[in-house]
Parts: sequence; structure tokens; C-alpha cells
Amino acid sequence: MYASNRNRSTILIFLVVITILALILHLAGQLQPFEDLAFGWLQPFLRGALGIGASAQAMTGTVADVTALREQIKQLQSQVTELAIARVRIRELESENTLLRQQLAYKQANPDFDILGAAVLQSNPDLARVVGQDPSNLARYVIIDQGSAEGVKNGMPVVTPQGLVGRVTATGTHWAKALLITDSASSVNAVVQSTRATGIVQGDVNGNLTIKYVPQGEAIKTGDLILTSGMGGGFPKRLVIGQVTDVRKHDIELFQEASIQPTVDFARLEFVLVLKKFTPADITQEPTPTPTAVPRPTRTPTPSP
Amino acid sequence: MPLWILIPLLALAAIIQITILPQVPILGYKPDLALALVVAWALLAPVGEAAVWGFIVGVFLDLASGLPFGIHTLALTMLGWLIGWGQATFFRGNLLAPPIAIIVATLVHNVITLGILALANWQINWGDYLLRVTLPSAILNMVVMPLVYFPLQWIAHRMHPQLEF
Repeated sequence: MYASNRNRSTILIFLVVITILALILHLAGQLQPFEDLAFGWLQPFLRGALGIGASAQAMTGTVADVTALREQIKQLQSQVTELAIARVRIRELESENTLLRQQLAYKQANPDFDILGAAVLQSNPDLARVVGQDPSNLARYVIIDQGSAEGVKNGMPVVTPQGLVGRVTATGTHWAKALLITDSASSVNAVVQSTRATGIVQGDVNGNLTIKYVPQGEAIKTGDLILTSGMGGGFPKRLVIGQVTDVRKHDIELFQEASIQPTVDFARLEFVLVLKKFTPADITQEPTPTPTAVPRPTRTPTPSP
Repeated sequence: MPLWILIPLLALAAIIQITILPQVPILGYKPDLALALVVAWALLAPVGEAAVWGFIVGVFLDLASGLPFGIHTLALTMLGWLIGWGQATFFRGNLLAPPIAIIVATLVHNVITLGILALANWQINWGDYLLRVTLPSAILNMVVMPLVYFPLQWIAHRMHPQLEF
């Protein structure tokens, strides 16, 4: 019995040592080939299990004619998405028009980005499928079925037609992991669409979104749309993040903050798009204090009146 | 249980946790199926077996996790051994052992995970995580534990009839 216990202890020590070595190798970036190989074997099973997961989700519904209602909802959601994208574009164009009229020496932002972005999202057949999510309640990641072979690289933004999803943090040959914006480790430079007040959108431990560090003097109210500002170069600007649901402002504090309802339904992510052609904004060419100028315009600037 | 049966079974459990459980969250939380399996087997099997279970299922979870590789493996391996040693020494067959063990295991698992992240220079708000994630997760795991424990108890009876439960 003593020999048996000693063998078990030896096995345990061996397993723990192996695990610590694996952790050190991962932090040193040397475990990639093993993860790639193992995930390549695992991925088909994840895809197969997704079908069962979809059935489990369907079983929780209680309405009798679920299929017909779902189809109707899908059509309505598609229409809402198109209208939402169009609304964002219109408001951005209005805002840009006002800014250009006020500053004649202003370098014209490239309005084609919005159109290109929407076209990319609507017509690009190369959507990535979400094949799994982080197994822990402590982190919020998704796993997608595109990787370096499809041109995905670390740091690339991940979006859906509804809005910003997150950012790629790890890639394999045919898989990648993306940190969701609802994770507490995520920070996104953002701007309030109506007032252009800037702030930083952060997730928290429960997956809620908050825009923080909005200066006290700036106006922000319930219903305001929050977009990416493009500052820092991590994300393109004008991607929809969500809508303000609650503002918290205290006179004794330097900044105010607000809760945000994300436009993306993170519990039902199926397909996402990785922005592979995204070029980070060149903030060195932006005039101060305006935060929205971008590199060289691709067409002739509007002549002054 | 031979490895050629154990590895596919634990892989299936990990796949369920990665793909199906996130689609049916309960009040925004996912039950930790892998942790429940390891804790239940630690309470039912000879000392050390659950550590092997923890190692195998931990590797599969680490492959899918965005956290540093090895976190789940280390936490589940150590928990499998510790609980197995505890049940053999203190509380074999105690009816309160499964719910108490899973609550303690959830806490320890999260503390180990957050501790390693803190050592890797991640910004961790301990109070937030422990109160708003760990505690609700522990309660949820306790509720689902019977779904895992009793089937495994039946299996353990057949594999280790010499042990009393």
C-alpha cells in the first residue's frame, strides 16, 4: 500500500511538473506547434457538437410555432441591421459635413471607409464561424475557424454587422481566439456619436460594458450611440459598440461613466468577420484637438465656397 | 478505467463545456462540467485517479481557453489529488461531501487561476471576481453536481467495489 501511495505521489508530481513546464512554454510563446496540432484534431468535434448545442438551445424555447417565428425574427433583424448601419452612416456623414464646413483647412476623412466596411460585411463570403467559447466564467473569448492560413493575425478586429465583437489574441493555422470587448481585460477607445465626447469602453467580470473616463464637461445621455474612435490604432473608427443605458455622474469626480448595452448579442454569436484589411489610423497626421482625421484622402477635397 | 476509454470521455466533456454549455447559460453563468467530474471522481475513486482525470480534461480546456495554457490543467490536477486525499483521510461516504467539495473546489480553482494570471502581470480585481463570478459559479456547480455525482457513483461501484461510499 505504501508503494502504491508513493507511486501515486510520483505520478502527481510528474503531472504537476509537466503542467508547469507547459505554462512556462506557453508564456514564452513556444507551445504554438503543439496547440496547433492538438486543436486541428479537436476542431471537427467542436463543429459537430455545435449542432447539438443549437438543438439544446432550441429546446429551451416555450413558444409553439418556434420555427416560423424564428424565421420572421431573422428577417426583421436583418432589416433592422441594414437600417442601423444606414443610420450610423448618415449621422456620421452629417457630423463630418458640419466639421468640414467649420474647418476649411481640415484634412478630409475618408468617407469611403464606411461604405467599404459595410460592403465588406455584407458581401464578404469569407465569414469566420464561431466554434466555441472560453470554458471558464472568468474569461470571455471565442474560438473561430479561421487562422493564419486565411490571413488572420494577432490584433485584428473582429466584427459582425451589428457591431464590434473583439480582437484576435492568438492564432493557429486554421483557428484563432478572440478576446471579446465584454471581457474585463478589454479596453476600446470610444466616442459618443452625437457629442464626440471621448472615453474608454471596458468590460467587467460579468460581461457588462461601461464607457469610462468621459470628462465631466462632456454631454452623454441615455440612448446615445457609442462608436470606436480609432484612437490608438487598435480598431478602425466608427464601428458600433452599443447604446448608453445609464449615466453615472458625480460632481466630486473628474470623469463620468455610463453603462452600455452592446449591439452584438454575444450569447448567440455564430459568424464573425475578421477585418484583415484594416489599416490603423495614422494619428500623427491628425490636427489637434479634432480626433477624427485620417491619412491622405483618396479624392479631391471639396473646394471652399 | 483504461485510458482509451477515459481520454475520449473526458474530451467529450470538454467539448460539451466549450460548445454546448455556453449556449445555454443560467443567469449568465456556465456550469463547470469538467470541475464537477474531477471533484466527483475524487470523492469516489482511489487517491490519485482524479488527478489524472484533471490533467486530461484540463489539457482539452486549456486548448480552447484564451487564458495561458496550463492554468486549467494545473488547477484541476491539484484539486483532483487534494480532494481525493481529503476524502480518503477525512470524509469518505459523507453525504455532505459532494456539495461542500464542489463549492470549495470552485473557490480554489478560481483562486489558482486568478493567482497565476496575477503572477503573469494581468490586472486582477480580486473582490470583483470572487464575489461576482466565483460565488455564483460555486452555487451553480453545487446545483448541477448531483447530475454528475450519482452516475459516477454507479460507475465507481462497479470499478472499485472494495471501496465504501
